[in-house]
Amino acid sequence: MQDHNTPIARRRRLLSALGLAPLAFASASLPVRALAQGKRLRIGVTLHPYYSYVANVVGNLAEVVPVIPAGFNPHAYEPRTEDIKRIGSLDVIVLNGVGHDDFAGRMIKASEKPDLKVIEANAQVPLLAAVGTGRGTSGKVVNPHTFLSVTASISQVNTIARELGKLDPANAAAYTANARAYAQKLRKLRADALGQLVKTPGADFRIATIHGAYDYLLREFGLEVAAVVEPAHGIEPSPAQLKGTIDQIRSLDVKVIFSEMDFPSAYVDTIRRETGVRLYALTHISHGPYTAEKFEQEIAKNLATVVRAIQEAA
Amino acid sequence: MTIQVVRPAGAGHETLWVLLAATAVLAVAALVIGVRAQPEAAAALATHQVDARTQLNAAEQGVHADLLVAAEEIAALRDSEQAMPTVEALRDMGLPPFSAGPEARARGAHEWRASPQGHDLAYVGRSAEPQLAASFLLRLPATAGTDTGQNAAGHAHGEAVEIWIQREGPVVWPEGIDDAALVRQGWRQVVTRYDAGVTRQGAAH
Repeated sequence: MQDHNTPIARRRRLLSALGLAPLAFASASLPVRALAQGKRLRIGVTLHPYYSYVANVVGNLAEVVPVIPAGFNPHAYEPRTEDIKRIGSLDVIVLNGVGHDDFAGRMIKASEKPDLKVIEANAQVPLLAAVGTGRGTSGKVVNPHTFLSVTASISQVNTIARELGKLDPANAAAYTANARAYAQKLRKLRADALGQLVKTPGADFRIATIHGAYDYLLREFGLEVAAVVEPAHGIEPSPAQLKGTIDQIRSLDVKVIFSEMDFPSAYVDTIRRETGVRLYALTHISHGPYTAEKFEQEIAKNLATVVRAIQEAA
Repeated sequence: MTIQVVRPAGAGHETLWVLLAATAVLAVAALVIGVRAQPEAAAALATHQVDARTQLNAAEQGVHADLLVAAEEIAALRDSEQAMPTVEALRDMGLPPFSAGPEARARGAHEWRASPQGHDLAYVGRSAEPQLAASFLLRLPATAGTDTGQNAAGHAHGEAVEIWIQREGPVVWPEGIDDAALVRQGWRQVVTRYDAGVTRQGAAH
């Protein structure tokens, strides 16, 4: 009787398995090739608002893939292997590109597609200078929070639709139509919120924020931020810096401070106690699950909060 | 008993040499930093241009951003309707900054007028509060050239959408909207620059 476990028998089995393997691979790849014909674009995004922008522009004509899973704070995110692997499955990625997702460049370079097509969403947005003491004097460090304002978001939605239309000409008209409809929806949100302002804020209505994220939003109200507590993007102030900012808030006679809803800081209570200024919480739209409606829901909340702060300070 | 003073074997001026060496190092460092300093960003602009990021106040930046977005919508409307959209139509659409919402008062309460001249379209917003915000002019080219493009240095919008402001002088409607006429009447072109995140590798800074 033949012994099935002699070295010769094992080698023969291995060789026949290897001989059949190419056939197995060929048949497994056939379905993938068939899919390639009517393939939907896989578009990567790095932040929650961009998921909403792209989802509203493409509808169900393409797939939107968040590169970072929900639950990570984009300010403190360090690239993980599984997220870098996901980039290899994308056709194009939409980037904020001006400082809120700089980690994406390293991830793309390390992925299987280092030449992945990039859409610079902020290409047509007039950028503001970064706030804080650490920004330097070259004027090149910009405030990356364009996604926290209606006007800049509409500009980004238009840019995304235009660039996606170049990559996917069959659906370009649909993307453009969706972009214009979404823009109209966002404009209506803004108009409804602003329409509730009975009195416009005067020139002495001074505002401070904890996180330097709301400059774009406040310019839609004709306001600007007089003081920012964080010395640089995402950096907590030292006790000396906190004292300096509290003194600045007192001397400027700041009326309102906007804090963060999603990443509360321990020193916010200190500020409220020391200055007695009213505190309102705004959302950075970087928290929770990725959904298509997230941006419009949360920006509506922010607009309502700013309107309420203006009305209550009058 | 005689007293003999023994001087040290070296020259005895070590402190002086150390101080001189430290001063020399500081001087060389100051020279190197002074020579290597980056030039001011605004140096790249012509005399008739202003930088949107550093030379507009908050109210003007808000109106400027709204105008850029409005320009895309106006171009789309012009292509679909083959006619220049009127200011009333834009206001009814709720398109900022033409829509007269409460924020318009905080940003200068501009009065808008459409002003076609030759092949170009222009919308002029005359500021009612010049101390709050300058007057604005949005100029769109005749052909569908809303692709504003980008490059690393400060750039004008080129053969495309342009925004001009007027701050000094009496607040009047401009006569002539070509470049030379505007510069002559005291208007200045607003220029934007795209700066990618400074920690990005391989992107335009």
